[in-house]
Amino acid sequence: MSGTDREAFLKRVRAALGRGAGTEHAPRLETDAKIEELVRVVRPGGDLVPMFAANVVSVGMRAHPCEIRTFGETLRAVLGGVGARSVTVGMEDAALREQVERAIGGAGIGVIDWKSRPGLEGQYEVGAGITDVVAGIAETGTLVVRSGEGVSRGGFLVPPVHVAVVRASQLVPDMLDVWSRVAEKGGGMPASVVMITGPSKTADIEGILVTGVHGPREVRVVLIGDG
Amino acid sequence: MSGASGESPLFPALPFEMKARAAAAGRDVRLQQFVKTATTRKDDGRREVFAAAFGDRYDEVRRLAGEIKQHTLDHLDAYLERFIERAEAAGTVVHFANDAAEANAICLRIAKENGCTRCVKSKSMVTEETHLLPALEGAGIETVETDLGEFILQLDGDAPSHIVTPMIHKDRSAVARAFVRELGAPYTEDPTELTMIAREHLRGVYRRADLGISGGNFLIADTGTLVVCTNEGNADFVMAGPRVHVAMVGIEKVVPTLDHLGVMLKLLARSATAQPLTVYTTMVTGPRQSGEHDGPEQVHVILLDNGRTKLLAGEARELLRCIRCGACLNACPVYRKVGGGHAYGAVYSGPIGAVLTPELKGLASYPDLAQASSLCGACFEACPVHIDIPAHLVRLRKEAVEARITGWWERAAMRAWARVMRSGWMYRMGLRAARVGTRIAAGEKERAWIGELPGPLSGWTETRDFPMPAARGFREWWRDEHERTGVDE
Repeated sequence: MSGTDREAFLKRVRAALGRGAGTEHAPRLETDAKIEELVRVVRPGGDLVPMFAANVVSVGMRAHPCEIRTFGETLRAVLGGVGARSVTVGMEDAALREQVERAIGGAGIGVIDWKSRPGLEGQYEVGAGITDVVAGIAETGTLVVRSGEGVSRGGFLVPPVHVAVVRASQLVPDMLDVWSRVAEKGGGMPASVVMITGPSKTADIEGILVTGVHGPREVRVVLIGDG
Repeated sequence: MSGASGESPLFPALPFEMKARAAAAGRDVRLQQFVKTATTRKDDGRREVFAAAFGDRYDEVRRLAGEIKQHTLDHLDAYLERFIERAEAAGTVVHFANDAAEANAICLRIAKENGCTRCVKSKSMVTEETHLLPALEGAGIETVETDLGEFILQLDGDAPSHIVTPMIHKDRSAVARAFVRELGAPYTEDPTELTMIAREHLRGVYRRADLGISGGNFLIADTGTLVVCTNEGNADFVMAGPRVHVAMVGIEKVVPTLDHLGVMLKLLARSATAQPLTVYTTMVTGPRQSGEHDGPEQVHVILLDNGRTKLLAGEARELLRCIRCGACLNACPVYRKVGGGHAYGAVYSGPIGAVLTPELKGLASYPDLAQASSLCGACFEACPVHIDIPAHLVRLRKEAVEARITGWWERAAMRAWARVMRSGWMYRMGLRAARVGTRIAAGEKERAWIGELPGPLSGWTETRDFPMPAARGFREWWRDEHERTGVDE
């Protein structure tokens, strides 16, 4: 449906640029060095965990540092703290998902099978959505999630609380470093990548900050320091 | 400023003259205070976060971002082709709209082909440009704006007054009344309670929607990716829930690679709302993949021209660098004084709107937007992609004179001024006349300041005093003092 329209459209663009039809050219913009020098805010090297945790807090989320051995109890404490009686679990990392399910299994918290309902429906009536991440950005306290098989696009979005499990080895210093983590095995981009930097918020009414307008009102980050 | 009269504030009768709305806003102290608070907070915050992130490098970072955007515009044909190729390889359907009518028609066709009747929409300046909402509703597609500010404005039949924070002209009691009237909600003025009322209502809407329409902050050529930035997360509901997702995006939003996106992202939220990043930065590359449980079955991107190739072809190409951060609006003293965007009578307001609107819609339709500026340059300093807005304001003023759009008296006065300035004796005579005239207007001899000038000059002295000229002009003083040394005049 867009074949002939496309040519006419691109022709107008070329004409506006003063270029004749069919002039092939592959422009290159050599800015890598400048970008590194000017735009990089956090240099590699150094312990990223404290910086990440501090920025998580400064953008309005909460950080819960722990180790592999204390992960289960930390997770249960977080869920108890937000009063979540039912959750959804969506994780890329199958081993981590099993750990999560083991940790909350005996604690009287219901795990809803979101795959049994269409689209995002399974996320609407739970107290919290538990997800892992593909990366965390220390520069900004950002959680990076991507679409995939074991994951719902609604897990971090629909429930009123989002609990994100982040391993220290997943942290990168600066946004400039995140793209390599995000790419699929074949090198392409996933269908959906979402970078989360805080709870859902608005200040549309008289500039007064309100959280949880559409997405979660609270985001808790469980940070596994030796993971 | 409600559109209750039937005319949308952003689509007034043309030619549009700013003066009437600006004068009304000048008398509305409460509106000015509202807008001033909202904008100065963000403007101050912007400076702080940039100082913290980039220190002295900030100016160089802006120039780099400007270079990246300019390069992309200078080779937009190649980058658009690359985007189209990569997007289609990922399963996105790409459409081409020369103008607003075509863009809306494409949207309607996609909806019809897929049997969509309930649409949710996230914030998009281009859909305001094309007036998409009335077109959808006219075709029987029930459409709900999901950005909280736009949702409230839609309920109230009103229009946005700022490109980033659309509701700075509206207070909580107006919101409360709209919710009671349209949603049957109990009356409350508490912002949190009002927000929760909207949240619950919109969740019901999201769950029933079969079409999601978004805008786009960026398009990445290298990967065929659409990037959408929000703080509310409403765009994520719009893009992930319904089975069809349509994004309408201006062609100037293209950036070459992920690294270049990184540069833009580091500037966008810091410039707009003094945050390091927007809460949600979402990157869509094609529809739901096999094995995925959710996500749209179809993703469409409508590339929109609507006058952009005209800008691309001329001196206004630089304006297409704009990443719609709103920093220039927040920095502009005129924007504050005229009470925000409605005074500009167009979708794009503030400094960028003052130059973009005449370019897109014609100078004859918007003759005086470029006049409403003291050329202080605050907008240029605030712009993360280094657009020299004052230079474009001056260029538009020149074009208005050449096109004889300005009043004959102004042209006559400027001609007289130029004549006097070119002639030595006329200049000196003029100065002497001005000195004598001012003293006559002042009445008494011993004052240092004049509180009121007569006639058409009284506007100047409404809020300030005019200085009394000295008894002797500088040249006369010089001549008298240096007569003996024989220094020439």
